[in-house]
Formats: sequence, C-alpha cells, structure tokens
Amino acid sequence: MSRSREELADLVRRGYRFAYSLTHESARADDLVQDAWLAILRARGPWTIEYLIVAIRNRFVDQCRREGLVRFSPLQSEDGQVPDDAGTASAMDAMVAAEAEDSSGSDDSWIDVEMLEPALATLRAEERAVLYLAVVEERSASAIGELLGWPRGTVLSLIHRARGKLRASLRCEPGART
Amino acid sequence: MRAGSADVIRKRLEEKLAEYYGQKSPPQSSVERLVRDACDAGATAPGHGSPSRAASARFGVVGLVAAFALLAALPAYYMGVRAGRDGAASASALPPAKPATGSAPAAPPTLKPRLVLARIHADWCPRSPTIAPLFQELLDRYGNDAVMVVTLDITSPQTRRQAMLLADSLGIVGQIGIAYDGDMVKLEPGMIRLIDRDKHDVMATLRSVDERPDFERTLALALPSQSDSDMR
Repeated sequence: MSRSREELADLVRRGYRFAYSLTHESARADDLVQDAWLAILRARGPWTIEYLIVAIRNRFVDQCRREGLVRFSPLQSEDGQVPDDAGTASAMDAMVAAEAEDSSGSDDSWIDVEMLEPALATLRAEERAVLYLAVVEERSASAIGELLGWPRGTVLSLIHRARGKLRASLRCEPGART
Repeated sequence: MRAGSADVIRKRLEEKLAEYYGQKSPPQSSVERLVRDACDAGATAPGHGSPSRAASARFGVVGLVAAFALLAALPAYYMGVRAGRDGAASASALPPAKPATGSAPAAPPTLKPRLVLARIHADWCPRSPTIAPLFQELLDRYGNDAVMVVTLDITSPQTRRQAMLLADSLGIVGQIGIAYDGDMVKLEPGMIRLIDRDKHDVMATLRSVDERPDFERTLALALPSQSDSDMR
C-alpha cells in the first residue's frame, strides 16, 4: 500500500515537472496537473506517466485555445522546411557539426542552474517540453514523437533549436562571459 | 576535437537541466491530496500495490471469466476471424495527442456510474472522525463499478477549491451543499451523501451511525437500477 502511494506521489511530481516545462509557471503547472489527474480519475485511466503527460499536454493546448494564445506554432523549421524522418541522420550530423562550430573555443563555466530560469523563459513551450522529455525523462525522439503526435524529425529539430537558443541565452547573461 | 568539446558542453547543459527540473516540485499538500483521491478511486487496486481481499476475489472471478472467454475465442482467432481486434489493441495504449492547431477539443470522457458516495471532510470538524470508519466500510462494501466514492476535503481554502473542482467535474456541485449564498456553496463537513448524478438528486444523507440503516437501505435499492442501466 505504502509503495503504491509512493509511486503515485512520484507520478504527480513527474507530471508536475512536465507541466512546469510547458508553462514555466508553478501555479499554472499545479493547475494543469490537478486537471489532468481529475481526467484520469474520471476515465479510470491507467496511472502511467505516459498517460499523464498526454493528458497534461492536451489540457495545456485547450488552455492556450481558450486564452486565444497561439503557443504552438506550425511545426516547421526556421527555413520553412517541415522536417520529417527522411534525411534525419544527415540532419543530425549537420546539427552536431553546427554545435561543434558554435562551441569552439568556449568552456562550460557559464552554465549555472540559477541562470537557466530566464534562459528557459526565452524558449517556446513545445521546445521546453521536448527538451525536458529528452533530457530529464531520457526519452528518445521517436518515443517523444509518439507521445506528442509529432514526427521524429520534428522532435529532433525542436530539441536542436531549444539547445541552440539556450546556449545563446546563457552566453548573453551579464557576467557570464569570463 | 571540436565535436568533443560540444559533447562536453551538451552533457553539462543536460546535467544542469536535470538538476533544475529536479528542484521543481509541487506543494506536498497537493501531492498528498491527489494521491488520496487516486487511492479513493481505486488506483491502488491491482497493478498498483496490494489489493484488498474483496478486490482480489473480484478480480479472481474476472480472471476466471476472462480465461474461459480466451479459450472460447482461440478457435475463431486461428480461423482468421479477427474483426475489430487491431483497432481495440491500438486504442488501449494512450489517449490521442491533440493537434496543436485545428478543430475544437473533443469532449472529455464521461463517468459511467450514476451513483456517487461523497464524503465531506474537514480536519477541524469534530464529526468527521466519527464518519470516517463508516465511510471506509461503505467504500469496502460498495466501492465497485456501480458506485463512485469520493472524499471532498474542505479543511482549508485550497483543499476546498480542489474539492469544488472535483465536484464540478463529477457534476455534483448542486448536491453536496446544504445552502447557497449567491455563488458560494455552503458545505457541511462530517457527512456522507448518496447522489444520483443523472437526476441531480440527493438520495440520502448520513451524519451519524443512527442514520446508517436507512442510508444503506436506500443505497441497496438504488444499486439494481444502476446495474440495469449499465447493461442497457
């Protein structure tokens, strides 16, 4: 019994972190988790993190629609091309090469947890969400795509863009360049 | 060399991100309340911990029936009669993710049971502790598919808000209060109510042990009609 309660508590915390990655606000994240939890209660759905994540994400999309906010822009890269599975490997090679080029001559001393808060705020919700799922939940791009209903190439593109924006934001922090 | 440097930075960034999100946690009171709601709704039943003896027996019977059904279905399966099977399998995995743009969201799934046993609880209420064992007995006896059993905790403004959200989602806001003051629903802790969600009707209220026989009689009378409607 106690083990089961612990699992449920862990589920709530993981759901909250995903909700926070979407909203970047603790109060809204809390509300999202409550709503999603109630939806699972009503549906008597499975008490799994995958189900909770999809429920939270669906409620977030609903909220954005209600508020008239267009948080989820069309899924295409900055050059207007919609990425797909074809050519993903070459795209990944290009991403790694670009990252290597960007980071040449720099060190990692500028990365600090406190600085992540404003840096993450510059990201779009879906960028933060895929970054969270990839980095913290350690899910593959295919798994994230299946979860959120996006092609794998789109997920890879979002992760890449999120990383790039994050790096750029962190470098722009006052006093970060030492 | 450069690629190696990029990998180091990426790894460090990911470590910091994991550390950052690791620090984010919901209020402990929220976690406890959600876990309690899930337990009340049966999330600790099979597959989520140690099921109660009654639940074990129930699932034992269900398992037996399922085994017979499987045995009966095997010949048909091997003869190639598989209509609808693939669709059912794929539908059970995850709810469909909503598209980011497009049509309006689909209607939420509806709760099947019409009958709701709602306990109004508050830590500061002297009557709530006396009602708790009665509620637990009702939960053990009637907490099946025909009745939904919920606890509405109104100890603090925050828990009250969550209780109202839960009641709203179940469509029983009008039946849990004792009076209305404008938009405010006045709630009385230390009582259990039997509510018919379809008729928006309070069928019985239990405030003390003395009222239990009448309450259970009403509940027992309501149950057959509930199962009939489910079968229809």
